[in-house]
Amino acid sequence: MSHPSLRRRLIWASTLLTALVVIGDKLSLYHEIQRSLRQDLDDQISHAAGLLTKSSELIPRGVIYEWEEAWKSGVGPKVSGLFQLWDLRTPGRKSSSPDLGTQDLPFLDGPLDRPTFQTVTGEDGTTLRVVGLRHLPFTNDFGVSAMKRAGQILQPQSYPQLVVYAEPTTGMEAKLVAARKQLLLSSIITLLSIWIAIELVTRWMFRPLALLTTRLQIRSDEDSLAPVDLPHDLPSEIIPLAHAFSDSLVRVETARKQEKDFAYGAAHQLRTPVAGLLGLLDQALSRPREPHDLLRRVGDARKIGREIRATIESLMRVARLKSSSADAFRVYQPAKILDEVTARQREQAQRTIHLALPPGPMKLTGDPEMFRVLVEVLIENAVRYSAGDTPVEIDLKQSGSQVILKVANQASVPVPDDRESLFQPFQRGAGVSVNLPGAGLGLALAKEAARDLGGSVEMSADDDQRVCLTVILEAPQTAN
Amino acid sequence: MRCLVIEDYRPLRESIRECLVEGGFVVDDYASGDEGLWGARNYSYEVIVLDIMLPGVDGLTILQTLRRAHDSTPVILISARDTVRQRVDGLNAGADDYLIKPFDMEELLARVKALARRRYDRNTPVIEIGDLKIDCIHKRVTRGACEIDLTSLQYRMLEYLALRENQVVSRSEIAEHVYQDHEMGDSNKVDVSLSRLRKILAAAGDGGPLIQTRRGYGFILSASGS
Repeated sequence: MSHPSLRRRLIWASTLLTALVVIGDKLSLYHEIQRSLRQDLDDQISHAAGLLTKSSELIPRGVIYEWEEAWKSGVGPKVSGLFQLWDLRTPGRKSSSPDLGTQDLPFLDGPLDRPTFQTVTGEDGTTLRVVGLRHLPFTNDFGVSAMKRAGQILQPQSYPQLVVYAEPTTGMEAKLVAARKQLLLSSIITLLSIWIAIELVTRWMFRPLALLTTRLQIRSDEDSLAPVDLPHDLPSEIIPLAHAFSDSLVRVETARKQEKDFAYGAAHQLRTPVAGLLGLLDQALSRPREPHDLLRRVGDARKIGREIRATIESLMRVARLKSSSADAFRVYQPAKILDEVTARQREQAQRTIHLALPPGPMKLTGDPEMFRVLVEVLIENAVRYSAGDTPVEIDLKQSGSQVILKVANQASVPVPDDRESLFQPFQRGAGVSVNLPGAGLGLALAKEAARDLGGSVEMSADDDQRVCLTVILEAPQTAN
Repeated sequence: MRCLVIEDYRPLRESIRECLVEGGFVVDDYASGDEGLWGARNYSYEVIVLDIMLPGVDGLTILQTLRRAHDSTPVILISARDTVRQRVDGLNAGADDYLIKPFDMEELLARVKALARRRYDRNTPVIEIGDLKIDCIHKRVTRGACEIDLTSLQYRMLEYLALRENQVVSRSEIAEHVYQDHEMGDSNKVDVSLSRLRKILAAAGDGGPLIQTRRGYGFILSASGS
């Protein structure tokens, strides 16, 4: 399964977007240049046409074109350019520039004194920009006097003229081509620069990620539980994700280590009784034995087997505890459960157990089986580690919104100063003989159960080795 | 040879004791670290089999205490701790061997015997002194071509003297390292047992007396004529 590359997507998307913007911008610029050049050309030919309109003079015999008169007379300057003049009063009368030759320009008539533009292709293939300008011939005082003398005053309005001027667009086209080249080149350079900049920036920005990856790999190889050391130059947008990932990693690895330690502790706890069992069997089989001797050894082996079974059952209890679900939650009466468990323990342990229950009904919300496991473990623990014939004292009461359960006994073994360590799996205290039944899981189970019930368990002990385990659970306000 | 076992788990301790006794050792055993340390300081042993997790003083502390007192008695640690770190720690504390629970008794016995032999600079399980040959694994004793039948006590005595070939061994050392507690009676017992052993060895071979008396000091086993 291939994963998309963030850097590649960033580069392509940025480049594409930038390209669109740059291309749009260059196109817009090109159009403006084109428009401007065309406008210049139009202005130019309009001006030329405008100048040519000045050569249309109205005289007593009609309209004459001064440029033509001068050209024909041979005294005027050479007239260049492509233009034609039509006398609109006299159809068919037109005057063409020498450069035009026999070609005709399009008849671009339009409103008076308003140029009309058109682009045409000449007979030789040249593109021409053409302007047509309808105008009236001019007349001056001299001409009016002449008309008066001729006995007829001619009105310019009656002699409309049309000048059509054309200019090849090759110059403009050449400029446009140059502009296009320039714009294309600048676009390419711009895009290339942007792409290189994005490439460099993304490499720079992603380098801390590579460093983060390396650190994660090193940390994984070293099997460390420390939070990941984040590179100081990690992008700020990624910091929350990196922290969340690091925290999750620590939690997962801590849980994994706890599970590993638990499995290791379980195996460790079983090693000694298994060694005892194997030793017994090795010795039983090492040489011929008398039947009664063999029977004794087998009996001892069975006893050890039962101890191992009890340890395994404790381990299974812990495993079941960890897999309890919210479906088991309901309202229950802790006093009733405590009473049942205490009665059974009195029978099995044959020890005095004093139980003080609250006078009125008391209810809790949670998993009643979890509560049962909790009280069973606490009472078994107290019975197992009680000195001589001393009784176990159990007290259940409610104080405000809290339900408090206390299990107290006179300890038969020294209570370590570090009492919290006794709540760790497989910890029984330095003074406890391995021959005493139990796997060191009782208080760990109690702690787990209390936590799952939303409460806590603590141990206290006085100088006389009187130990008290106190469980505090929250009572629901509505339940009571 | 005398062996000390310090292990608090009763079934295992008893099995180890039985295995070592049947293997020809005299065994003292203790269930707590305090008692074990007392025993190790006050008596002489060929080998100490020492559990690490003990009530009271733990095994590593016992080991370090002995080594600080320049006690070089070979120690084999037995423990449920099986990580490399823990084994290294045990060996660095001065242990001569490390056995992880659960283990075969046969292996424990073989390792204890190997350590005991090394204590007397013996690298092989077969001791040859002149024409006397003692196979410590099979507990067979021969002199020349003649196989010698010995009681358990006589074998232990001969083996101990053979391990300490050419060394003078006192009566009290013999009593301490050879006799089980229930076997000791009056103070003459060592002399009587030795006398019987000498006769048996003399009858088995022509090579001359192997066990000689050093008056006021003890006894010495050496090749004939030495």
